Amino acid sequence: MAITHIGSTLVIEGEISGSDAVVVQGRVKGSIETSQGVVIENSAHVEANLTLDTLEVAGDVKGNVTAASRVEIKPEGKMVGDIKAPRILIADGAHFKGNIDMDVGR
Amino acid sequence: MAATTVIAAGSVVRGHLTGQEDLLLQGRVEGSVALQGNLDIEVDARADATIEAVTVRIQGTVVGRVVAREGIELSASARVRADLVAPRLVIAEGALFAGAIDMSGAPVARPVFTAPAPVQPVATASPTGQPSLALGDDDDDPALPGGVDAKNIAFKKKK
Amino acid sequence: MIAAGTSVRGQVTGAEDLTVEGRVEGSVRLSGNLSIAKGAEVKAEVEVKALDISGSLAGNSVATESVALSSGAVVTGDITTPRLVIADGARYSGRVTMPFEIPALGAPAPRR
Repeated sequence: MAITHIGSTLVIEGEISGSDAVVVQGRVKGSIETSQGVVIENSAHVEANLTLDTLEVAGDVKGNVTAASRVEIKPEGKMVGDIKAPRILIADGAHFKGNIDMDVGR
Repeated sequence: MAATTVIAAGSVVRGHLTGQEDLLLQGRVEGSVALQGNLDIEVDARADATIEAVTVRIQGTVVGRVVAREGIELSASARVRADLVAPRLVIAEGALFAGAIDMSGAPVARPVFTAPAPVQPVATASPTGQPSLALGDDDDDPALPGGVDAKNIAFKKKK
Repeated sequence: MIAAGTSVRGQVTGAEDLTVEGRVEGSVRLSGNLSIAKGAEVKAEVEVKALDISGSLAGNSVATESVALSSGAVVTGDITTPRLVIADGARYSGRVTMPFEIPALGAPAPRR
């Protein structure tokens, strides 16, 4: 499986879209859309709307998320925004502020 | 070249990219790329962009403008419709190229692309501001004029 | 062949290949190939079949077959050709025109 990897010194202002998994260690301002999974690592700062299959947040996310399968916010993760996903896991220690909608109509 | 950033074959990035690391493009970029690092554009990749980097290796398709502090290389599979600015250039047999080439080594007065102001202060120490490129810094060649100076040629007809 | 100690000013035309080791100023039009050797200086409009440059050329060139710049070549002027090779160490400034198409964005990228 192909993985798009945004390194820790990268700053993207714009949109990332496609059919690859995306791992973010840098900064993204804009949007991320993929049919695969997205991992926001601890060093990452993301200010974007996210549309994806699965999401794992260990960094900083500000934006709304629509996930086809699941969203997980790890203990180091910090998220401000609304989540729409059929399965959600917010770990102990994680920061989250926003609305949750688990009725995605599946 | 070990790239930490990879834009994989099924991905498209539209917008401005800046960074201080190498970037491997296997997918597509539309917009601008400014790197204090090397850019490697693979054979099926495509960039429609204004590009600034230390070295740029092109095996795929590029439309736009490419400015490299050290050098640009077009391999046999390259298809490039862009202006190229660099002190060193290699165009391999088979490459398709159209555009202006400037190897004069004149320093770039200002970056071609102006990086947007960061959203928030970056946690790490390294700045993400505009890369400062001064072409010719690493150029070992003595200063070469842009072309042959006609005044210096003495033409004498010999029988 | 224009030897190293020779200078030519004017129009050079012919059906043969030509090697320049000296100097040419004016124009060169051949149905054959032109080779500008290391140390040679050509200041001319050039129209040839294949163009090989190891020396210096100032002037626009049209080569119906190919253009090759060797390391050490110093070239200014526009180049029009279907095939181009630039070796590491060559220096060039000018505009290159080569006939080929890049499909517009949105069209699937054709395989080479």
